[in-house]
Amino acid sequence: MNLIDPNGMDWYEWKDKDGNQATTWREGNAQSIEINGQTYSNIGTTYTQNIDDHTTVTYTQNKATSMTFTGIEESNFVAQGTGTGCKIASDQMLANEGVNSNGERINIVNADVNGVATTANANATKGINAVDNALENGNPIEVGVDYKPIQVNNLAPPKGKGDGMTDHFIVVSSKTETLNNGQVTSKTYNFFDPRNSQFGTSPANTLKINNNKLTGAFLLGTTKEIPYTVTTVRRSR
Amino acid sequence: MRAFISILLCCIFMTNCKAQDPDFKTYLSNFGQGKIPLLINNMQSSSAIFCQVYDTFFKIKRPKSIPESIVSKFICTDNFCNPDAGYFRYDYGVKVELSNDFITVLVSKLQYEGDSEWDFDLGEILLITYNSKGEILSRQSLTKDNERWKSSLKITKEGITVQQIRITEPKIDQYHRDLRCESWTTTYQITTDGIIKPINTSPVSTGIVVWDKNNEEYVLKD
Repeated sequence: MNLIDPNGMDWYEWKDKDGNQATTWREGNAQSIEINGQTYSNIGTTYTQNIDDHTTVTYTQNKATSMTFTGIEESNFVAQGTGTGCKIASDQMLANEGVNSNGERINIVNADVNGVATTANANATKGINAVDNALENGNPIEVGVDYKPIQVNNLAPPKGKGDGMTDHFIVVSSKTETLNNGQVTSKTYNFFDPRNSQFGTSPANTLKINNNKLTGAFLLGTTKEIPYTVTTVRRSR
Repeated sequence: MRAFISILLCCIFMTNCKAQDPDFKTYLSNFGQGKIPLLINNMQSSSAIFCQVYDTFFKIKRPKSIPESIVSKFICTDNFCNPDAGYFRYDYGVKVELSNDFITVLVSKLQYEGDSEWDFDLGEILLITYNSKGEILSRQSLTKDNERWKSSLKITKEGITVQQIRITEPKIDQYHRDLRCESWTTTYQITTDGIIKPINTSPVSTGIVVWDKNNEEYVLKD
């Protein structure tokens, strides 16, 4: 579709009792319009189109303004609960979607002596691409995050077998790309966090790319936040 | 006479300015200003008190973390904050105008993780009173909030009322359903010299919390 002056245009939708439907974008803002004897109802200036079972495109007027790739349904969320770790719960979420975290481990940041993530490393782009590829194929992907000022778990050798920076595991559940004239101008990733049942799947759980790092926060409600930096990406095998 | 009074006022002003720690002034300047009566009983009212900074990257108002050096100087003195039991994050809240004789602030405390579901990611609201030099007069943890605890806080000139809900459901395996709970109300008063004193705690009553779909939080069923 060509970009046309959006003033005075709206989206209209027709549905029948058998579930057949059609959508069109037409001039005017009438409550309904007739096209080939079928009545189309006005659904407003925006319209979200399902491309396949995991991809949607949202139009504002006739301009595609965002594209969302979903890797996991909310019904497949697993909370870690008492005694179950975040890694196990995250793995269970992946298993519910038919994938795992047993593939390549891509550490994407450097860390200081306290295990605090600092700068993106040479593998950062590779790791972010792995997240993008999983979601664009309709799959969730597990990542480790850093948030503590001092490393307690996942200690690096010789004290442990970990990477010395990851404090917690989450599942990246979807990404929304903001579009402008067909170009991706920004990406926002949503995640499922097993640490809390109530807010585990909240849409406020977001990560963004900042200096080639994936950073964001888990919000316990609106006022208590845990700032996350993605440290490692765990591909499925 | 007028000159004498001016000099006297200047002396008092200079003495007070000298007495106030610059770090304390900076610390106070990061708090918002709360209005009495002050109510924190849902996410919206909590956000108004504790989201003190606008994040231009994420384009939302967010909590503003208090640096560790400031926490140890103005909040966690005398082992009040139990720093060895886990990692705690502190965020700025608001100043509350309750008296000209002392300074009152609300601080948010969040424990990262925890040993049981009772203290896992536990949030607390701290009420702290200071003298003008930045010395702590009194401190009180007023509320608890996490998956097991919910609270409602009201501060008026006359006193402070905290309703605390403890979710007693044996297992919280599925959210967004009715959950059994206990609740009680504690009242506090602040004395003229800034000391926070519990006055009364109601008997514990049992009840049900229900999921409020619109506000995405639990509320006590009437």
